[in-house]
Amino acid sequence: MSVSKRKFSSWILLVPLALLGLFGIAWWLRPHTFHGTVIQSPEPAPDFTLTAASGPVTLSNFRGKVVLLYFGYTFCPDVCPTTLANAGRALRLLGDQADEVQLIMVSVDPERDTPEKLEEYVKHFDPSFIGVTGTPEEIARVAALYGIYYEKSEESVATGYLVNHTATLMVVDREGRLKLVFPFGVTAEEIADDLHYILRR
Amino acid sequence: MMRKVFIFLALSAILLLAACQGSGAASGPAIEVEEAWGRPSPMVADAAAFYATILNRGNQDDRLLGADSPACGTIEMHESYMMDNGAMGMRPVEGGAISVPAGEQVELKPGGLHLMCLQKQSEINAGDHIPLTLHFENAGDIQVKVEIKEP
Amino acid sequence: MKRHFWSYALYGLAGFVVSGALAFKIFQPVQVLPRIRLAPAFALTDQNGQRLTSEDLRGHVVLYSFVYTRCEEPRCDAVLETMRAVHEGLADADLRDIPITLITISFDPDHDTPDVLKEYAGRVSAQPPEWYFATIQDKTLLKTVLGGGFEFYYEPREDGTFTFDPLLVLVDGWGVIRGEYRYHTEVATEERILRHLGVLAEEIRNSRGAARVAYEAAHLFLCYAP
Repeated sequence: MSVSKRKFSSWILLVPLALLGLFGIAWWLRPHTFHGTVIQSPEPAPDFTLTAASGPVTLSNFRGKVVLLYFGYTFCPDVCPTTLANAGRALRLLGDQADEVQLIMVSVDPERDTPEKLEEYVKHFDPSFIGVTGTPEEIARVAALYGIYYEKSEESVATGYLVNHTATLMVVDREGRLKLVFPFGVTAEEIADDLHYILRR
Repeated sequence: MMRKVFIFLALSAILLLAACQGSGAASGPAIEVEEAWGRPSPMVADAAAFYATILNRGNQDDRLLGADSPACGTIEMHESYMMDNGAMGMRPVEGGAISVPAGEQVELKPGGLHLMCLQKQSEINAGDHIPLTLHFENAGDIQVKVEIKEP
Repeated sequence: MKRHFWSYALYGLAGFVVSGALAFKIFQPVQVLPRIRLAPAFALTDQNGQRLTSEDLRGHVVLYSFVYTRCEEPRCDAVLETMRAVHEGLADADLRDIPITLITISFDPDHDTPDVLKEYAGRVSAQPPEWYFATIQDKTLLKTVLGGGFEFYYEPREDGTFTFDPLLVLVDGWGVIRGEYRYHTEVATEERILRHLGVLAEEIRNSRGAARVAYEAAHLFLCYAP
């Protein structure tokens, strides 16, 4: 009598435990919800070699690292500093893992952005950042292949001109494939969350 | 004991008063400017941006006509806007002024309206408090300090 | 005894998960179009001389095709015939809530000026904003966008005609290439494109909230619409 009763009570306990375990496994297996548009292209992202202050920079040399790719320009007062500052803070949130992430900013204003100027500019946001530029033709090619549209704005300012551009932040995975596209306005926490997931695999 | 409490209270009052003078509230009763801030900007960046929240507590519409700062050669008012899903464009503020309707608040924030500081006189660093004078059509000039920080 | 129970439970759970994944893969409750790669960015000039940029087309599902007006090969007619059939099919398909645009890009900008394109478009009664005929004047940039971006092969011959590999490309509102149609299959291309447009529209309508997980799972398990 007492034995069967004990058996019964242990069953009563086990059913919710098993259910809990099931939910636990389902939760553990849940797909990560990315904060950007997932591309996960099966093809390698278009390769390019552009010029940084330290010499030529080739995208495919960063295989094994996760590359954040951003197209902007140093005259940009609002949108570019916001995105670059958020990306920099995301790297600091990642801590040691940040060593496996490389941000490359490609200038969409090759006329004004020299490699030296870009270098000084991007280092302000994070010392690991790289800024690259090239001839207007090279930039036009790379931007077109990455779906980045840019044009000199007709609205100029007192000291120069502005450039309107697609302000997305792109993630190229360790295998060199385009993984993710963040829209403008993505926060440092969201970038760090997605990078953390991508780096874990 | 009582004396110590008194001194403490007096000191707090002085501190509070000093804090109040720092904000723009004293200049005009209707318009208040809160949380004026900007990101650090090295000399290599030609343009910096300042952001703030402007509240109109009065019953009269007002317009922000422009701004001045000793830290900037000129300040222009611009608006970043989403051209469509992805591209960001930037244009001068429509009509050359930012309207602040009575009883409403206007936010100058990243990716939207902002004050663009050109011809910076020096590097803008975290921790700086940059004096900024905002010119309103009705409320007149309002002075604020722009706190430079990483949000 | 207790140990046995737990190992059974574990095996049971693992079996449950695996069979669930298998069921998803086999029955494919949700089908999607693959995300092939990013579409290129560009600024085209259309048949009315208006500028049309890739940014203007964000939020639109776009079907691209590539021809040149001096083409006398039947392959060019086939491409335009497919475009026209899709254009007509749009009216019948349940796609009214999704903006869909057709764009035919000429790879012969020297000859195909806006006026020539307008006359050519008139022949298939194509009008913006449903169907644009357009080109890029700068031939280097044109090659980058068509050859590099859309992976469309074309080369000029000495007599002014072109050798090319007919291609239609489907791009979603986020600027991602979702379909490439190269006329290698026997299935009528227009039927396939219209079916794919339906699948894409369904994904756009449903990829919010909890349903998004199902769609991401479909991408993960490669449940691609044939």
